[in-house]
Amino acid sequence: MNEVSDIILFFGRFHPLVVHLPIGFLFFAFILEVFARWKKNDTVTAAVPLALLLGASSALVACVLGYMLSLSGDYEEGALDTHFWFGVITTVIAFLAWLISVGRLKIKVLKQGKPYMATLTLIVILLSVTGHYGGNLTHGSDYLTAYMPFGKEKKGDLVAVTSIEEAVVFDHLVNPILQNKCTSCHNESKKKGQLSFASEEAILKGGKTGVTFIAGDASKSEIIRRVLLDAHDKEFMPPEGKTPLTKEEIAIIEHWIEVAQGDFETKFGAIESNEEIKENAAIMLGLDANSKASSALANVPAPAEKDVKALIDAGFKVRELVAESNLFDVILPTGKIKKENSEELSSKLALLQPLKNNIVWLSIGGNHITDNELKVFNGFENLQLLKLERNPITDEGISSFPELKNLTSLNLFGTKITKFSLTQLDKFPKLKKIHVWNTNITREDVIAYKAAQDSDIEVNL
Amino acid sequence: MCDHHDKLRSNNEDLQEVEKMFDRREFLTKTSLGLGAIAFGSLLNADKAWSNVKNNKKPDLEMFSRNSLGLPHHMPKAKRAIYLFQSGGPSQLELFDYKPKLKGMFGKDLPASIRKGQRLTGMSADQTSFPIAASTLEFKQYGESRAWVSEAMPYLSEVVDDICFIKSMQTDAINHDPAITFFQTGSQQPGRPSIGSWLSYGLGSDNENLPTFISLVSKNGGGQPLYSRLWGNGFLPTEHQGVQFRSGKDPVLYLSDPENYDGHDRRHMLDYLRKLNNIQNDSYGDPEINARMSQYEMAFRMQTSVPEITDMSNEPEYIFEMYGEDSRDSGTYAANCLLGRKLLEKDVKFVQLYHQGWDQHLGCPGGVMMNSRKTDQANAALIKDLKQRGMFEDTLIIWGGEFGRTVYSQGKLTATDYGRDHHPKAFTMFMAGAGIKPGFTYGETDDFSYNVVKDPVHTHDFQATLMHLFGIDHERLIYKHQGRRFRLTDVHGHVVKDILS
Repeated sequence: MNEVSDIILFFGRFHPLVVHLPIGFLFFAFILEVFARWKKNDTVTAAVPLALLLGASSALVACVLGYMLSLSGDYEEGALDTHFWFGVITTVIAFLAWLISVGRLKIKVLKQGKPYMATLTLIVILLSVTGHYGGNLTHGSDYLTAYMPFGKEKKGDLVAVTSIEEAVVFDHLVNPILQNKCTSCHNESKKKGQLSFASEEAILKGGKTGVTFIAGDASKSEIIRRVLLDAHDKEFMPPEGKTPLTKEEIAIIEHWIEVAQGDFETKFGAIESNEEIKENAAIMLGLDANSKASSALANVPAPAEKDVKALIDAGFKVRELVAESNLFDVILPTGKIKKENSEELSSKLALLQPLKNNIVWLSIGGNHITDNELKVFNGFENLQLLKLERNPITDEGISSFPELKNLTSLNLFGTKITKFSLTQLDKFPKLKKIHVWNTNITREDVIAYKAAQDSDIEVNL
Repeated sequence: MCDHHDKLRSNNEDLQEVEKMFDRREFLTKTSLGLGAIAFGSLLNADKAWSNVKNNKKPDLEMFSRNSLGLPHHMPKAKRAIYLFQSGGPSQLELFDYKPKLKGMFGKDLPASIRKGQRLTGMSADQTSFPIAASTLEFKQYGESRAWVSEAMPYLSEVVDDICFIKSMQTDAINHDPAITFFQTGSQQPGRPSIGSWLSYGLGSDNENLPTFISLVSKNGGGQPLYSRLWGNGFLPTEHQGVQFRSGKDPVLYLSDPENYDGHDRRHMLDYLRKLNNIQNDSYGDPEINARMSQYEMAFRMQTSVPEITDMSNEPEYIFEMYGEDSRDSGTYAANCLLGRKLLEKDVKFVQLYHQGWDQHLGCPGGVMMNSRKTDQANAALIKDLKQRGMFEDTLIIWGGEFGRTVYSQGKLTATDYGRDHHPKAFTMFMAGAGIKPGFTYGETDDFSYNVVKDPVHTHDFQATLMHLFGIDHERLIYKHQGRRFRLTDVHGHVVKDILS
């Protein structure tokens, strides 16, 4: 392509501005005409020729400017041609319509029909078509339909991944960034700087300033250089007014160029990545950022609203541990149950049963709970932290305690247990800590237990 | 009643309704507002506005137990925290940051290569020399973690294996008020919410009978003043303000009934007041009206709960012995530590203690010893006490001041005495308990304890880490006020993952 002088391009860039004038004028002419016929009111028809003339003239200007813009070579030729010719035709028809409206042009053959209304309708159709193609050129051909609320097919056939290792670095991580931040200007129909990110080939081909990236060397790669420039630099990408890449996104692209050698097939699991990259990748893939913590969390259905309400009405504090995890921290405040009404206790604790899979932390210390009530914990599969301190619980309660396979910490301080209870801890296979201060267990008991059991449970006294 | 378009309507009321349906003004109003409402709705809930109805709808637990802010973001480690604020800027050089090489440099000028022209306070900026003052206090290593602690804190040296020292703290401010405001609110200028207020706003209360955020100030504290805005709610709703418990007859001001009033019709009075407030709320919708109503109710409940919690008569003798003699004297630091533990036991989310007096511009060794005597035993006792109650694993303990102190002497340096000026570029804090790596030291300073040479932890990083332990992503707990989105860490802060267990 020949070099085009700057002044041509300068004017060309006014095309997107000017182009809206004919759209407005011509539509308005149509509306005036329809209105006049519908209301049988000719007063407004006087304005139609003027509107048509203005529309046609501004369409002509828009055509010229559009041609200038097209010389930049930033646009895909096929789509460009369509837009160009539709634009020209629209302009011609607009002039015809004007001529008809002022009575300078009479088409004898069509006299029986309604040439005037027909041309106006045709203009509206042509305007829409031209405008649509123009829009596609500027924003990409899926701009209009990308957020359609109905009939939308999931774009592409990206397989959802369940772990970051499975993710293809380019497809799952890099490409979504490009699609999000770059392809509005660098696509097949609008190739700013002759660069497109629409396909693998296009990316490899590069643009006006050369190749997009140099495999293995992010710092020398054009794509990285351009996004790391000062935001006010002329060459900074994306240009001013558009959302810049975040440093996490840049890190991912750098990682792809450096470590994955810019390969389009490499999977995330096949390359070495540090923790930070892994975390960023997990966030981008919508796999929880705190994968370590969350993987330990059980996936349980939400409890019934009425069960939660019943608990709260009974004086429990119910708080979700992680938003929308359906896992709860439940507290029965100390002293909620007084000694004199401890008969309420069984019925209150029974309310916990419907949430047995949802409760992860449970604090019910200081509420006169006795051995009998402990059976309620049968089947509390996800319970990790159980605070039973300052309750009149004895060894009997502990020996008949149901198995809790995920319990990690058990607080029994201020209960009536003895060293016998220490021998009953096998039913809590994951137990790491037990608190037995202020019980009948002595320091010697703990030492003896530690010696005999070879257990790594931390016994706090 | 001669509204201009009534004239065009018939007298029949039913017909008027029909006419209204075709009314131009009605049409324009409804369509414009209707479109606006749709647009607004989608602004509020962009994803859901047009989403498919078939999206499996979660059972609505919102009312009861779901946090409306979508918190916590991840699994929390801490359920509650106690922040032992050492106001004035305790000297890291006299307490934890042992610098043996300084002994040989007594009186020498601090090398310019170390200070690098750093800004000093007006108190020592005009000194002609900056003579190095090695600490006169003895240091020893303790515990399995071999942590260095000076003779000023003998009790703390017993629990070093439970503690994580951060020796590389840094802050932006060099004077007390901006520095302490910065630590508490993330901004040097007053007006932002305190850490405890953010937590209260974000996570709510676990005990409706006590405030979520309570502050305790050691009595008879000299030194730098503390203002109630340090535990203020800033622009957050008022109920998230920290409530100060004081020593003496009235732990919470204006809470007890006036003399000669028996309080028997208090409930009746509050109910009536609520009705009046509701009328006001219906017409104005000011959220502060709701805040006020809930505060009246809270105050009413606190009339019972506060005397209960401040009553120390149930504490056994050995607990007082553990916290030290001072703990029998309400309002001292030791007594506040003990009260703090009781509040934590009641699931108060954030207890903020303040102890003034760490501002040793003069007589640094003596001043540090004196303040340590007032606080050391209680600090250690608090850790031990929480441990034996099984609360150490879900309670976060924080100790620290607003900045550290300079290696050079402010004023006259003698063999036994010296002063130290404020130093924001390197100081020590410690954290312990929920989610914190025990028996660990993080970060290093240079031989002068002047610059951080490894793993700096900025105030915002500390705040981000604190939030993280409560299950909050500090970048996502945001409150919009006066057109700007605010967070505790402003636009800074990184979670210090290395100190997490």
